[in-house]
Amino acid sequence: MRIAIIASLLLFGLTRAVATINVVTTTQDLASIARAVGGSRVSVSSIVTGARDPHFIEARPSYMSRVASANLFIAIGLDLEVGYERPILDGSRNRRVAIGQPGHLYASAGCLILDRRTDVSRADGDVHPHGNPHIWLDPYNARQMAWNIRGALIRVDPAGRDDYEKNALAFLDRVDRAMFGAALVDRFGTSTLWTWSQDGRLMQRLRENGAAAQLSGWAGKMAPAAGQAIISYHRSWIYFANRFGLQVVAELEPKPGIEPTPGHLASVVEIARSRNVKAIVQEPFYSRGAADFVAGRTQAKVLVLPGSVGHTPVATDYFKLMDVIVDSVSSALR
Amino acid sequence: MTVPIQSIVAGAAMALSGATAEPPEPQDPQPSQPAKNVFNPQMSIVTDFRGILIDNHGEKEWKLNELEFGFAADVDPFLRAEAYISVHKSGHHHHEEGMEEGLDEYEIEIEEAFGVYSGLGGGWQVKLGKFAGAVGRIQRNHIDQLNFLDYPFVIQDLFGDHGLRAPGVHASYLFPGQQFLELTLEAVQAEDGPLFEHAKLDKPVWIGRLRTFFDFSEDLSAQLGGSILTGPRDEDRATVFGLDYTMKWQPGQKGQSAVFEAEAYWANSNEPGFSSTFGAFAALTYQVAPRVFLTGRFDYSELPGTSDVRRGFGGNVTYRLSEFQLLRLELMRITSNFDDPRTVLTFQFQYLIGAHPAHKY
Ligand SMILES: [Zn+2]
Repeated sequence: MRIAIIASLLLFGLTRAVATINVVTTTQDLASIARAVGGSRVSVSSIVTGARDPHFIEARPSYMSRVASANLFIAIGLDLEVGYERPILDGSRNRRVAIGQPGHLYASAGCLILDRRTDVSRADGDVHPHGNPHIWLDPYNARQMAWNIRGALIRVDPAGRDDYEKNALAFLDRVDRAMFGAALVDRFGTSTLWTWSQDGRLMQRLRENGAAAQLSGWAGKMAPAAGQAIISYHRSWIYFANRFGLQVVAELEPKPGIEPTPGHLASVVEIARSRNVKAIVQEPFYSRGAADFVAGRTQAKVLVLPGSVGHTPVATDYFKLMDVIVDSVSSALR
Repeated sequence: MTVPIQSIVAGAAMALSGATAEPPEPQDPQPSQPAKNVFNPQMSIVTDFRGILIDNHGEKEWKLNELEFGFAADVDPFLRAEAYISVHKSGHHHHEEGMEEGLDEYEIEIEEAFGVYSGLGGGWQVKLGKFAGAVGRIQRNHIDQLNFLDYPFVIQDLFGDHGLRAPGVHASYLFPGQQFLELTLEAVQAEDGPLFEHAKLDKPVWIGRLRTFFDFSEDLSAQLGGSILTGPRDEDRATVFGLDYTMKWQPGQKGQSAVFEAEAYWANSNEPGFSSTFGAFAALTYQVAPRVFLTGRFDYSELPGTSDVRRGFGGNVTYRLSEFQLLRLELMRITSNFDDPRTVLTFQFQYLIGAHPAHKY
């Protein structure tokens, strides 16, 4: 009897170990979405931890060991991880997750991409030719990334197809309801709502349909702020701004990846005054000096916000991240 | 901008409402790239310009110290190739003054040119070509990855000014498990240097290296490595043991970091009259502001086959305006058994164009 129990425990443990799909992501946002889509079939870890700039990660050897046993490696792409992705993948010697293999995914595929450029020069700072890589603060892109992750998980673990389909659709539904509120999702369907949002005419269409009062969720909280100007430290908030109708009128960095200079900050102060900017948003890993400088000379308020899951203790998953951002930006722009 | 939003959203909505149609895969599975450059290698050029502002043993001069061209590309799905070609001032040995007098020639050196197979499976990686030997950590870095002007004295005095770069074969094995542990074996035909001489394909310098890595916390990490080299020294053999330790404090907050690098080498030979030598290097680099780094360095090196000892104390301040350029002022005081102390103040201006540099540990 005891032997049987031990044997079944061992067997159970063994099958569990075999079934667990090991996923390594670059950012914590990707990890959060991968956990939602993968559910109990996957174990997920991210390379970026805590509040760190995802551009400036070093290819630590420990990451190579972690990726060595990965079934799936997920990066944002768009050169966000250009400094460390390849050294980590090569160092891991894991051919399953090499670029182009089924176990490798650029989650930005098919996402709405802003700042695409036909010609790039480093005179414009550390810009990325394929577009701005900070795509995840647009919930539309989050659902697209979830859909891509679902596809990649099915590739590496076909037996889990049903789970991944179900989890991915549940994630999309949760995003949709968090974005627009349950009432509108049930009334118009997500396709219509996202199309209106994409065209920048969500409020107009809702009014035409006498449904403006039903708008809730992130879009509902942000709606009164539409059209307002904000300033960000890095060009990492344009997807959020684009989705919710805000305008990023200046960045504290003179160019992406270049530290603020006094001359540039002086011009930012001018812009903040003339455009009536009420909020300066920045991730917690930047020093507050530049933002405080501008805020001290204008009516703008400094919002140190998580730009990714894990940047602050409350931003434990994608939904909490967006909740925190939406709550504080909408109240600052009130 | 064409985004397949309708199709995706419609598909998802249908699936949610019970219809069987699935949301389709995105139409644009990879970020679109400018097609004209796809098959060109990634290219970078590092320009290293220096001014010797003070040197009580030599001339004050401006010099274009080095241009380093780097190329990297995938050859095919199996092989990645890298090449580094350096154009630098010829015949400059810091400890052999007068050598470069009147020489204003540049020499072209292929520092590295190799193909590497990383997808062999089973944890193996194989490299063929000319490459930096798996000796310590610092000498495998290129000039744009150093926190100081030049390679440690002990590296220069054992392996040559540019370290040990030689044609040969490399195989390395990454042990499975969460703890990083990597074993490297190399057989290289090292050029005649201060220590190894007359290496050939069938009489190579053998290199073995083991390195491991520790994440003490999210912010604090360290790498520990040990290297063993054995190879011909004329008709005899020479052997080197090396230890290297690197520790980095990298909090998430921008503009804060500290790096400690130290390496030590013991060299021996059965050549008659050769007394064993020891050399070591340590440097601490502290980021005092987002763009400003302070480095203190210490060098000690017993020159093989001689009774000379070089010692160096110094430090630098480095101003990094962006990831792609730096301005540095390094002051070194160098003593040797056979010479008066030398004091050198060097200004360095270095910039990189082309491909984004790799963020190596
Ligand atoms: Zn960025």
